Parts: sequence; structure tokens; C-alpha cells
Amino acid sequence: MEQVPIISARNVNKHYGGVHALIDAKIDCYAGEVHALVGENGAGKSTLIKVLCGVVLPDQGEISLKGQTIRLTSPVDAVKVGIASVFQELSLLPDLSVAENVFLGCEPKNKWKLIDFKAMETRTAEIMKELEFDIDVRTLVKNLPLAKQQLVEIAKALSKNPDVIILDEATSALGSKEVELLFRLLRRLTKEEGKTVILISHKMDELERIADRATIFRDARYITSFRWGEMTNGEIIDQIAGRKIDTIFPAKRENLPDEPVLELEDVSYKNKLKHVNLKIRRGEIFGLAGLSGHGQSELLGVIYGSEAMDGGTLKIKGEAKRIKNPRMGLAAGVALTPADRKNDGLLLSRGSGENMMLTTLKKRSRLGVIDSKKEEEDTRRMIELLQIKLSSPSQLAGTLSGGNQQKLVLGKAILTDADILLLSDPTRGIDVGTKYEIYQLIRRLAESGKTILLYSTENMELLGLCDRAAVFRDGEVAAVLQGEQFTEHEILKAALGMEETEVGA
Amino acid sequence: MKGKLNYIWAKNREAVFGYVIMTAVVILYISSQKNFFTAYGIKSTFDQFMTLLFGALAQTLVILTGGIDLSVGALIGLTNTMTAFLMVPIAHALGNDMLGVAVTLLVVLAIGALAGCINGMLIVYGRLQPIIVTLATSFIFMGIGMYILPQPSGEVVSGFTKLMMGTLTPLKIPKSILWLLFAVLILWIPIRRSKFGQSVYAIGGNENAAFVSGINVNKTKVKTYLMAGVCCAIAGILLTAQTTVGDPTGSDGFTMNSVAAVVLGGTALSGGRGSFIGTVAGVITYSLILGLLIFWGVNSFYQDMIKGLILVAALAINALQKLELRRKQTA
Repeated sequence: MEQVPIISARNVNKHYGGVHALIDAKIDCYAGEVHALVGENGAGKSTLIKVLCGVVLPDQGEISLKGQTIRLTSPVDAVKVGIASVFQELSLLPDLSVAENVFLGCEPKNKWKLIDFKAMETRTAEIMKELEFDIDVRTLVKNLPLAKQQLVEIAKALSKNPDVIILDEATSALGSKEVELLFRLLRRLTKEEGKTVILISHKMDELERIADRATIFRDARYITSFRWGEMTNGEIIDQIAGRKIDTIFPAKRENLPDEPVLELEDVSYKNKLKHVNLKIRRGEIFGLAGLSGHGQSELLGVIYGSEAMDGGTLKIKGEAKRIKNPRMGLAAGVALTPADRKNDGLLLSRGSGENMMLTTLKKRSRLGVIDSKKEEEDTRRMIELLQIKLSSPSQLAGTLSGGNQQKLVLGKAILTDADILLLSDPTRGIDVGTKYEIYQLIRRLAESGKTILLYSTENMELLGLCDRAAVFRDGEVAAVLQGEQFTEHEILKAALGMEETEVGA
Repeated sequence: MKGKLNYIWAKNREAVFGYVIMTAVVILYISSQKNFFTAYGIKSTFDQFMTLLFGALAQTLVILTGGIDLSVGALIGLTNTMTAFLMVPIAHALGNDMLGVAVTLLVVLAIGALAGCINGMLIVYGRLQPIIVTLATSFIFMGIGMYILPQPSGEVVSGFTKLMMGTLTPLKIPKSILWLLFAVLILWIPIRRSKFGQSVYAIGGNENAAFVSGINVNKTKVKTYLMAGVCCAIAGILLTAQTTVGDPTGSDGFTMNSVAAVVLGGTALSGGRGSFIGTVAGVITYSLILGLLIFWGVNSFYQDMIKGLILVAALAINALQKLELRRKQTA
């Protein structure tokens, strides 16, 4: 294209520990367009956007605005050159009013050099009116519903009068009416005022309506840019996924013996789980599918004992159990690897070996004193089994890469000798190579007779790894899929409730 | 108009509870003090909470940023010591009592500012926890005070007490009431309405959001501790006017008392929510309860225990308010 891009990035690299978030990433955005960034979770979109608005400093790379190279070292720099951003996680102050939030950091002053609250409120009201947002500027942000908070955040960004507006999942909390309003606004800003909008959204139908062009990212790399409409949806999805499923997953097992290990009957928990009935067999990898937040993590919590179920029966190897806390869960032979490994799974400032020993201290101690010989032995065994890459067992857990940290968490669970392993998003934020190792490991554990419940936000992972899967919708099991029925299409159909499927297990 | 009222209510609802308790305590106090409605009664009541008022203003600022200042008591003690130690020699050297007082006060205020600035620098540039830094500096401040005056001693020029704590003719208004107005109208409101004040609230509410919005977080924090140091110095000066001697270790209790007054006034220990307006109610409530305990002749170690119980109760109320807020958000 002969036109000069308004903002472009070249050779952007960024890594966190051992995980590459961006590898030679690039992007070009032109004036007057809505540019969508598409890709799976962890493909690098969010990192690139954070680089563009000064929140994250890249390890290397070049950003240019209107053809001139710029250096962004803080969010303030970005705002100064005309780049404003709205992030998925709100950055509003709940105890300040709408007006105070919009003008935070650039408050209008009166002649005494004090903040002119009246002017602030009037100007915010003007901005709201111009944007057609129906928000009282004096309300404290904490008293607004989430959708309106998101609009305030958008108004705050637009009040800086930027040339480039970056929206990271900015529609996630908006209702359809607000989305309509926002899209009308974005169209006006781009088409009439010549501004540029960069947009991340997982909602394809929204992108179809608003995006002019798009760039696809996969595994931290730039894949392609295209004009919306040049590619079919099928082609786009192929580019996003990029790999055939069977190549990276270990082979599944056929004909499992019908030997139920874990039985759930009518299990309910608050309004998150409603009469869940499942039977899971020995040696099985059983997936929990569906859109995130529909009861999958709560189910794992109830089985492990970190959440107390309100009703129903839980049987382990045919015996009814009441598991009220994680200690009882572990005693009953259940172990969990939490999704948030940094907060719930590891002591980042302690040694790696020490971390793996935590759940099994009692087993290795005699009269309250820890048998350090046995501890060393167990540590060595796990490092070998899981192929954890570390300099020594005393290396601090926080200094390991995400993949190796995940292996520690798995090691911790395996050492409990539990028969039932609950894995919550075990490959989150891990590079592809290590993912493959973890898949192999999970399969080997199942073959050795463990029963595995796997919750993942990636459908590919569930399809590739699990023998069967239950699709959750609104706390209920919408479908149990296996064999030829077990496809992404069927998962989505059940998760979105497009059609009733037979329930039963 | 209705919008304005709603706004004021939403902004100050945490403080309301403090004022309700204050009213109850004031009624109890008045009914048990027969001579309250004499000029002397009112003056002595207000005089009681002057020192704590400024100590609590210092604590309010720091707590609003999400920190805590455990050196409030020690710094009040140090500035009290310096005032009593310096005033008479300076007045002699200058040959004029009032000029001596003025110079002494300026020096003491500068000492407070310097001490607060050191706290702030250590916290910000040393990347240290406020609770540890101020605990450490509290011992340093007290140590310096004890080096200067090993025993409670020192003196003030005659007329100093009257100058600071007397009454204003012709209406015989106690000067302590003027100090209260000074704290609210000349110190607090301009701070609250300045960019600095807004930044204090923003940092306490969400430090990251404040940074992303272009607020200079480090500078604001240092300024906050500096302001807190100045407020402690004012407290130390007023204390000297009341006691007329310097006592480096005698002000220890102000640290906990200031935290208790701030919490009673509805300011959240997590920062970002509350105000000095609430703290004023907290100071009055707390001081009057202590006054009552003394009046009823409660043994001094029970007094300490009751202080502790008040703080625990105030924290519990604080926690309940937070819980209610969370319930509202999830609903």
C-alpha cells in the first residue's frame, strides 16, 4: 500500500521468563480503519497492544507513528502522542465519581490552583452527551453497573482526544444496546473523523460488523493481515488454529473397562451447579467443556472440597463421601492442580523441590519430623518423571518458566498418590512444546490407572486429549459427548444451547 | 440539587457512622460532666483532643494512600522535645520572646517535614513496606529525642501556652476551636481539592490505575509522608503548649490512638476511601471516651485494654462495611 500507516510496529519481541509472548511481531494500521486483532488466548495480541500503549516495554522492536519512530516508556507517553487505550480489566477508581475518574491525572484547576470540580463535572457531562452515554457524572463508579463502568472507561480514553484508540475486549461487559451504541460511535470516529481503532474481541459476530481489516496472531507470531471479507470464516479459523489436532495429541484409548471411580448424583452448589449427574471411569480422561464460567471450576472445587456442595451425593469407588475441605479431599484420594498456579499452586519464593513436598508432608514425616532422605528421593523421582528443567531442586519456583512451574504443580498432585486428579487449565500460558509434554504425561497417568478430570478453556485440548467430555451450560450438564459425536461443532452447539442433546452418562 | 445531595451522601457515608457514635459519646460525656457548659468546661474538653487531632490528620493522609505511619507518636515526641529544648535559648539569643517563638516553630515544622520526608523516601525509593520503615524510624526519632533531653525537661517562654491554647477575646472562644477550624479549613479542604489530594485518593484506590492515568505515584507518596511529618510537628508544638515541657517518650500512645481515631472515622485501612472529616468525629469520640475513663477513675491498665477493644471494634465495623459493599457489587 502506498499510504503511510498511522501506527506500525516491527520486529517486536517480548518474553516473560521462558515464555515468548511476542516473536518478531508486526502490525500496520491506517487512518480511518477499525483494525481487529484475532487469535487464540495467549497468541500475543494483548501483549502487542500493551506495547503499543506504553504499558509493557518490549525487549526489542520499533514502533512508529505517522512514519516517525517513537519510544514509549509509560502510558503517559502514549497519551501524549495520541494513543489512548481501554483494557479488559477496568482501571477505574471505585470510590471516585465518574467525572473524577475521567479527569484523573489531568484535572482542571481554578485560579487558586485547586481542582475545579464544577468545571470537571460540566466538561464530563458534555463528553457524555457527545458520546450519547447516559451516565450521571456525579455517581461514584462503584455504584454503576459493570456495563456503564466500561462506558466510563471508554469515555475516559476518548476524552484525551486520541488519534489511535485501542480497545482490548472492551465489549465484554456490554449489553447489546451498549455495543450498538459503541459501534455507531466507532464508525463515526473512523469514517468521519479519520481516527484509527485497534480492537481485540473474541466475538466473531461483532468483528464481522465493525472490522475493516484484521491481523491474525498465533503462538506469539504474526501470521497474516487481510481486509475483512477477503477470507471466509472457515479460512480465518484455520489460520487462527493453524495446526491439525491429531499431530500433537497422544493417541486415545478405546474400550475402557466399565469401572466407575467417581460418581456424582444430583450434585448442586449455590446457583453455580444444578443437579449434576456424572459417572467417570477408571483410567479415563474426562473433559469439562463449555464456555468458561458455567460451573466447571465449581465442580472441581466441590469434588476437591474447596467448595462445600449444597445437595446430592458424591461417591468414590462406590462409597458415598462427604468432602468438606481439601484435607478430606486429599484423604479420599482426590488431588487438584489449580488454574491460577502462581497464586493458588506454588510458593514462588521457595525451592522447587520443597514446593512439590507440600501436600505430602505428613506422609514423609515420622513423629512430626520430616524424613529428608525420602524427600530427596521423591523430588528426584518427580523431576525425572516430569522432565522438569531446573538447575537444582532448590531453584526457586518463581524463577522457572511457566511450563516448568506447571510441571511442579502436577508433581505435587502426583505425589499425593491420589487416584483422581482434577486438572484445571493445566496448559494455560505455556508454549506449544511443553504443552505436548504435558499432554503425554496426562495420558500416561491415565494409562497407569488414574482417573482424570480436565477442565480447559481451549476446545482443541479437550477434543485432542479427552476420552469423553461433559458440556456445561449455566451449571447444568448440557451434553456428554464421546466418540464420533465428540467434535467442536457439538461442543459449541451444546454450550450455546442451540439444540437439546441427550443427557446421560 | 438532589444529585448533589446524593453525591455528598455517597462520598461521605463512611463518616456518618463515626458521627452517630460521636453524638452518643458526647451526650454521655455531657451528662456525666456537671460543669461542661461553663467556659472552662468547653475549653478543657476541646483542649483534650488538640494533639490527637493533628496526629490523626497525619495518619489519615498516610492511610488514604494505603500505607500506615507508626512513627506518629515518636515524631510528636521528638517535635515536642525540640520545641521545649530550643524555644528559650532562641528567644534569649534574639532578645525577643515572640520572635523567638516564631523562629522555634518554623524550625520545629522543618524538623517534622524532614522526618516525614525521610519516611517517604525510604518507602518509595527503598521499595520498603510503610509499616516496617515507620516502625524503624519511630525508634530513631525517639532516640534522637532522648539524646537531646534524657529526662522530661526543657521550658517554654512565658505566655506561650496562652498564645497557643488560650482564649480569644472578646467572646472568650477557646483557641483550640480555632485550631480545629484551621485543621479542617486551612489544611484539609485545600489538600482534598488539590491535585495532590486527588492523587492520594487515586493511589490508595488502585495504584496501578493511578500510574496508568499519569499520576506521579512516587512524588505523591513522598509528599504525603512529608505532610504527615508537618502535621505531627504541629501536634508536638500544641502538646508543648499544654505541658510546657519536652518529653521524648511520653507521646508513644499517639500512634495507636491516631490509627484508632482514623478507623473510627470510617477511613478504610486499605486506602482510597474516607476523609479527615470523619477522622474529626473519630478523634472527638476517642478522646471523650478516654476522658470519661479518667473521670470514672478506671485503673490505667484497664484503660489501655479498653483502648485496644475500641480499636478492634472499629476495625470490625470497618470490615462489615467492606463486606456490605462486596455483597452489593455481586448482587
